[in-house]
Amino acid sequence: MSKFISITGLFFGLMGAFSAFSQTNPLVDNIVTHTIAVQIPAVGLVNVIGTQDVNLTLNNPAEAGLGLSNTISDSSFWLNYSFIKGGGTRPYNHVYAKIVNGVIPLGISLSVYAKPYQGSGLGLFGTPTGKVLLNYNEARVVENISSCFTGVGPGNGHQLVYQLQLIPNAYHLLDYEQPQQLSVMYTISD
Amino acid sequence: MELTCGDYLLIMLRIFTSLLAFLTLFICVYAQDATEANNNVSIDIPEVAIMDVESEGSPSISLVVQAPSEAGNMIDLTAAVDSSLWLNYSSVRSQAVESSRAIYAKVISGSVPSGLRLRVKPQPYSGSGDGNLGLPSNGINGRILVATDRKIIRNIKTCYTGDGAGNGHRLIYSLEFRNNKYNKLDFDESNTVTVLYTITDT
Repeated sequence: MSKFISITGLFFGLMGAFSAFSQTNPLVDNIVTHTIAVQIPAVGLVNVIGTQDVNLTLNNPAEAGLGLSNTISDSSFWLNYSFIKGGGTRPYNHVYAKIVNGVIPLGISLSVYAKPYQGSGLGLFGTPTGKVLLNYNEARVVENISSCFTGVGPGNGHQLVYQLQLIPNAYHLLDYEQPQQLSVMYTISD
Repeated sequence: MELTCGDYLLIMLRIFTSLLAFLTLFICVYAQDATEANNNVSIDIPEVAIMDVESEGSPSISLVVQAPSEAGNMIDLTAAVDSSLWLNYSSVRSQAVESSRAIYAKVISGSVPSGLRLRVKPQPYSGSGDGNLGLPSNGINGRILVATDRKIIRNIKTCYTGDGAGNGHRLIYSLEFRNNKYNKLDFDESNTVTVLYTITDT
């Protein structure tokens, strides 16, 4: 009897297999997914590009009896920068300037300001803070820079304007044997 | 003598088995003797619409944007490209029910970082398959991927691409800038995006 059952079982098994083979439901493995990691780098670069060094000389008096006068120079230097913000971690950066080498001659002050942005870049550029005195502490020259790039070279970014000014009540300290060469460093940071 | 249920079952089984043996014998004898034979052969072709994304490496890819090396330059998207993935599919269609099939793609989780767009360019079919294979649905331009379905491959009829990398449609992923949205770029939005492909009737 066990033989009969096993033969019958085989029969039904074959029927089942045939039935499964002839099923017409579609194969429905019709979707697939995969992942793409998109990585954006943090960027904060600044440079000053110019064609020649800035030479500043107080203006000679036009007539005897007058004093030396302030001088101002649209330098050939342009501030270029590239920045990518981190919306949650550092939404803005600023450009700072300070003297890193040399001494300003006695009796005068040196200041700088950045002109409004122009050039071939894109993004949200910084805003010039106006005229700032240069010394050994960082002074903010351009502020609230968001993701942008200024373009490279003169004509792109913010042109820098330097100014020599007589310090009031310090005229007696002026000394023509005290020419100085200064280095000014620009940094971009928060 | 009363027969139990088990006895009935046994008898039924014996009758059935005998019948089966008899029929088998009859068919054998008939087959031997006949000079002509008709038998019905049932051929069923299954409907098929399956798809996969294959790669020689991992199917999880990365698009890495390069920082500029010089102040004033923009970030560089030229290296944020991947062409390691291949779309494989097998399709058996019914001419009466669906004229052709198409493959759609969309972003289902994560979001493409602000200021950027994600483009996929399926390349024309190449590989070891056969049949009426599909065509890139927007030529060489491909499609920008967004959260709703964009048609990637069109006019898939009955065909198979072959299996694995090197078969089917190579997928070229790239990033591009959104017009005038450079200010939206944000490295905190570095993100993982999941793309879903669907093969479906058109």
